[in-house]
Amino acid sequence: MLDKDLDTRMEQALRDEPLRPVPAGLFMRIQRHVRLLAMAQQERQAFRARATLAVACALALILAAGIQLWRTAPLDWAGRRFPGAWGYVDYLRLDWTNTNAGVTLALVAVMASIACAILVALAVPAIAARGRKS
Amino acid sequence: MSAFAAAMPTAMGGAAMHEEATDAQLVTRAKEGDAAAFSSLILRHQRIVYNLAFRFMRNATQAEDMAQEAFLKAFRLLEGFRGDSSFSTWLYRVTCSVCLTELDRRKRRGEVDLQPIHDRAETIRSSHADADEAELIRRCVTKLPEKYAQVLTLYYLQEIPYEDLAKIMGAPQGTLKTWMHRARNCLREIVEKELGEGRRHA
Repeated sequence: MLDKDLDTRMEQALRDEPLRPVPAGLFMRIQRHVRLLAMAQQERQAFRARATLAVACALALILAAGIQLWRTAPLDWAGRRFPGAWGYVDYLRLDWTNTNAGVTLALVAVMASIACAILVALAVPAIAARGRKS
Repeated sequence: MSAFAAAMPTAMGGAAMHEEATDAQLVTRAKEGDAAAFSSLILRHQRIVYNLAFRFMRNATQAEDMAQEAFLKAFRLLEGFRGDSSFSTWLYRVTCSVCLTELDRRKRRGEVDLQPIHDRAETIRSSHADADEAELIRRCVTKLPEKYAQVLTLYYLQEIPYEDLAKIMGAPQGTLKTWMHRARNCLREIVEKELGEGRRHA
């Protein structure tokens, strides 16, 4: 009996709870935050597009440089023009992956490309913003 | 500034223009960048979302914060909303998720809910034993395990039919009815314990 009475009271308490009115200003506050979120999403998408473009340009540059090197063999050209250069070319050619100079050259090229790509990705919005202001 | 963000301050006027559009139409327009469409969705559902949040948090200020979080989360996830269920069903699910995550976070951090003075005063003013007991019962719902709290709150908020409730909870109707039965039993135990403790302190 007591259980049924409590069940009834529980049912009534849950069923009879009235709907509260919306607090004043809630809509405007939500709108303000949604606006900020939309701006942040827009900036993130724009950065991703710029970064992708920068990386693609860097890779294209490396590929173009590689093809040019393969075609023109600048090491051979340097060997003919500069004294002692042939000796250095032979040193690199022995097994360039085992020579410090060869590895260093390759690492420098890769790091320089990555640094260029990052700088371009960061610089483009600043330049664009300056352009918009003027 | 994106077109969406730039249009937001004036979206209130634009929202009125969307009064006749269905939720599905508004969602499609919001996904395309129509700021007024999303504002219309907020206007349409803010009362239920706020009340749903209140029934979990039992505090007006926290309910406002949770309602805001729910709409922000809905905005972030809107691209992924495929329309398998109605927008309101999906929004209620997001609101429940936000509130229950917050309650769980507070439980894990051992945060104690100090009843604000204005809420306490309201309880004292109403001061009627029945009103106090009704509020106690409603607070006990938040102590239930997550899915029981969710199912009871959603069911009694708008007397949502079992079919829609099953879509919100992502469970078959049979399972839902079992959960409702267990939720009521669990709630009774908690209420009996609370009432017993209340009488001891009185």
